[in-house]
Amino acid sequence: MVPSERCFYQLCIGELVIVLAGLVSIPAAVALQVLVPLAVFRELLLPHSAFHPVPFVASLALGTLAGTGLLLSFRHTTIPLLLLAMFATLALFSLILAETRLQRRYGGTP
Amino acid sequence: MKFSRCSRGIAALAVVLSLFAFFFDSIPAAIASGGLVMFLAARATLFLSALSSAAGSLGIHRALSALLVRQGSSVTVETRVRVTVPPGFSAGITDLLPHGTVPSSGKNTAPVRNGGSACRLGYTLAPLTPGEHPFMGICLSFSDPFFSTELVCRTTDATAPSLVVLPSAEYELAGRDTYGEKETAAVTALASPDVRSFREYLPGDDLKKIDWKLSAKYDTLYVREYMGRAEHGTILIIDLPDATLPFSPEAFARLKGAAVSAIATRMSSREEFSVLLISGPNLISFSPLEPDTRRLVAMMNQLAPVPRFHHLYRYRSTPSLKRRFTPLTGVPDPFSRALCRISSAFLSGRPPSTFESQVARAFHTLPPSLAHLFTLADHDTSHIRIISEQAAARGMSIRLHIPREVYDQASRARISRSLAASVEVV
Repeated sequence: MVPSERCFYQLCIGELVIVLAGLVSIPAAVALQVLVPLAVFRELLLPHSAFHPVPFVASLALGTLAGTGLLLSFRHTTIPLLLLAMFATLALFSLILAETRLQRRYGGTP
Repeated sequence: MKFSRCSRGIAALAVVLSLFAFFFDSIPAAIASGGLVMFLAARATLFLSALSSAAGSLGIHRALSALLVRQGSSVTVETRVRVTVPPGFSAGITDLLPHGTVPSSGKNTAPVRNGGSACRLGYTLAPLTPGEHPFMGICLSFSDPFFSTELVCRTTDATAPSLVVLPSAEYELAGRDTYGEKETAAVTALASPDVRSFREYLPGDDLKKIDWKLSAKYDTLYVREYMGRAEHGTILIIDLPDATLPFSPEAFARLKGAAVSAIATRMSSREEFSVLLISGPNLISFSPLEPDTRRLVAMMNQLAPVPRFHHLYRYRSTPSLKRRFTPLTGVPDPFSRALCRISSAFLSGRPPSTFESQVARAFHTLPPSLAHLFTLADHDTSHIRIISEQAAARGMSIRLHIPREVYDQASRARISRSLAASVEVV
């Protein structure tokens, strides 16, 4: 099994644990949601192999907390999930746009 | 930006969790789904930031053995690229060749070590089209465990210098072009009146080819390119199938027809050519610049499958193996280093195979020209690779002729591993 596949299976198990923990305590689930991906992909935090680890962890934690806060302010999950889908689409669009700008910046004229 | 297998799995997991949260109104599942989306978004942002940082650090210096070259000659290119790859990311550099050139030896791709490093690409290319051709740039392949992308850098440094390819007219052998260019088989005292195209004049072009009317109109010298350029020193290599193994009779009949037609055309046009008969890595006969028509006719009648006594299986020549293992010299991996050391110890004393020596001797008697290889390209194609390598070393271009019955996906994959310049399906 290649390392990325092993990491993915570990992440799946971790997410299952998060869902089960969320049935007992929502704060625990949020904390686990931040910690589990970082534990599975711990190379992303190691000093010799990490690129800007502090901003990465901070943005991940803040984003998850903000998402949870938004989720808990609604009674059902429908609207938060719609907002999440909108966020994902917007993020994807922004990333594609950023990459295109980068390609154009260095692409020049053939 | 492409998603890796891992990130595709994470995205799929997020979708599954959000569907679970939607149908079962589960807040923990929605948190998990949102957390995964945040994780991917944060990684993608970091990835683009690292890519921008690496692209900004690119420093390129390219040196060519000659800036003015003749069409078909070899040009050695050495490109030094400095790039700083942030930790946690991997990168590779590809030197994009100018239009109308083909790589003949060496590699124009190299991985970049983690961290900041300089890499050197050394390779040889053969320009085929006259004119001024700048390099197409540098392609930076960038990846991490979640994303990968390719950034083509076409800044001034990345495209310089331009390669000026002069026409190969001066390479024509004296005394062989007495009657000028022709497109018909009949010998004529006049050049063909049919013009294939016009292009700008380059030093070395025959002044007779200048189209003065067009040049006056555009205030730039234009030359005519005629139909049917003469080919000198052509060698026809006919690869006969193995009689002991099954083969397609229809394909062989078509191959034989094409080979006989090529021989007959050259005979009738009184063009000098050589014929090399092989069957896999077995040399059957070689007729250099055969002037005897009767012998050629007899040979055409004897084109039939022959039993092969010698076989090669995935054979690689010594230069090819050296090219393969040389890039491993600087790799920090102990296994690669050991492999490189052992292979170079064996390769230093490895003699060429009999077939390699035979082909080298056969090509040595010929002027640099064009080789036509008629083959079924079935079973192992090591002999085609050997012929292609020997032709490339001699500055000859090689053209494969393959019957359409056997030109399928498998044969296409086998042929792509050889160094043949072009493939013609007959």
